[in-house]
Amino acid sequence: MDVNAYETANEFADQTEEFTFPLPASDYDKKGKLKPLRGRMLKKLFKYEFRALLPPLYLCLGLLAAISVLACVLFNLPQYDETTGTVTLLVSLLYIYALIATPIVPLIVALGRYHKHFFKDEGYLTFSIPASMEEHIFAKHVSGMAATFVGLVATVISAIVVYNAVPFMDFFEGTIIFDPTRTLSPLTIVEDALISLEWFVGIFCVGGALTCLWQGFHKKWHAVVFGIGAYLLFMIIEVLAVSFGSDLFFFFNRDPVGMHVGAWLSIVLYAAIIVLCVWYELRTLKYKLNLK
Amino acid sequence: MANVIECTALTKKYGETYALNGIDFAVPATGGIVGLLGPNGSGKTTLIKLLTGFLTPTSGNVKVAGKPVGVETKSVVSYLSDAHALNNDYTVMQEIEYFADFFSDFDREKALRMMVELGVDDKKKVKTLSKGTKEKLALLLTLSRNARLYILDEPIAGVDPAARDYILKTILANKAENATVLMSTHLISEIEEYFDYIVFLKQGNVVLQGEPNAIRQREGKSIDELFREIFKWM
Repeated sequence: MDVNAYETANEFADQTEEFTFPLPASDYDKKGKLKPLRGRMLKKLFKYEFRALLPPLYLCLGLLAAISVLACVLFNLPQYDETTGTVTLLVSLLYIYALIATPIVPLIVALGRYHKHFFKDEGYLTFSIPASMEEHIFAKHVSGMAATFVGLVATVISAIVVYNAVPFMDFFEGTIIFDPTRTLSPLTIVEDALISLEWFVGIFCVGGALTCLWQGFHKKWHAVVFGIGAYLLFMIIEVLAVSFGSDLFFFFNRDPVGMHVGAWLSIVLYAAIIVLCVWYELRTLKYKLNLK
Repeated sequence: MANVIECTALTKKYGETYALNGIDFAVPATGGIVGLLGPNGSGKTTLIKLLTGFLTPTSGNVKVAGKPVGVETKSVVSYLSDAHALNNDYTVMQEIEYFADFFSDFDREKALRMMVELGVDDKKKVKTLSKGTKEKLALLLTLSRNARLYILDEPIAGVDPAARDYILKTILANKAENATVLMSTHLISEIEEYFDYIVFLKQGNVVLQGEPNAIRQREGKSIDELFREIFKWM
């Protein structure tokens, strides 16, 4: 039998019918092109991201608050016996763990959801939704950043409260960290703020890109070698950047101009890394996605 | 009648292996059931992933409802993967709300009715459901959309014959009116009577396509017999 007998051109090629799509006019720009980021869709994506991120964040915040109060009470006891001393030591340890966990847990949950929703079976559901890859990545990263930022703020507030409430914790007094005479120039404040912001944003973008990198390599050890290589390269470039303009290599006897040049080189370097990571995420999810 | 699916010189390569080798075919938006038939490894799932945007073609074009695959086409395509992917941490009711939120063509009332008919408990968490109940839930969520095109990847694989019949009847009874259903399967004898149009895939090529009745008359044999003949060396 000639099985190719039916391999004909389409016999229903009359394209007179126009299909309609259930998307509102606000989803399109003036040229009639679909917007890559739509407020309506982002709102829905954020709703489900925060629904997943907030319970562990609330748990961490609750535990941190409880342990902070307990620490303040225990650190202010007039005297310690064997029992109260042991309990205070345990609470101190717990307090340190809680300080670390509060910003870290939302970060881990956010990156875990990134992997689960983009590269595991749930990906079939995630990418069936009429949302663009830009919207998916934006919603995942921004919600993760917001939850982690709340955790960080809570950690700082708790540390300040406990530090001020505990009489014997005055060992930072007089050190450069709390030097009241130290003033920062507006330019330095801007540089520090930008570098901090880029570090914070970079954690999520690098985390996302590494997840994409991991799934993109058929042999996982290639991904590990590539990741370590990229990290070492980054460290070398970063050391060169911050050392630029110093009298001696690294951080000694630095002149102020060299400091600023180094800071701006770092800012540009981090921005480039963020852009590169987002580009790699988009490229992987748009063109290299291969759910099993 | 316009084509709800159009593939032109569609090629997908994995490394040096051709999963689809420059196929040309189209499915008219007649509102029927289209069987995407072929043995394992013939390219059925690759084609479905290209139609749903989970893969990008190596070359060639693929259009759904007259548009390149993207956000717009996803708004009119209801897809049931063979993985029956669901949000495992949600309850059944939360899963329904999730679909209602993201798909404007989702019919909540229909979903609730089907949930009762199929005996799915709305208070249970998805991860606690049995495999069969998860399949039912995924199917009811897919069919509760008033989509233009339903793409069902092996919806009857791995279920007993009684369940197959039940699933097929559920699909026929609940798909949106005038919608086209593209269903991949390698179990032909059980369901060939349901097909309005068939596409045979063999090693990444379309080897046969057309209306089953015309093919039966022309060849003088059933689709299942034809399938066995075409793929007898595989």
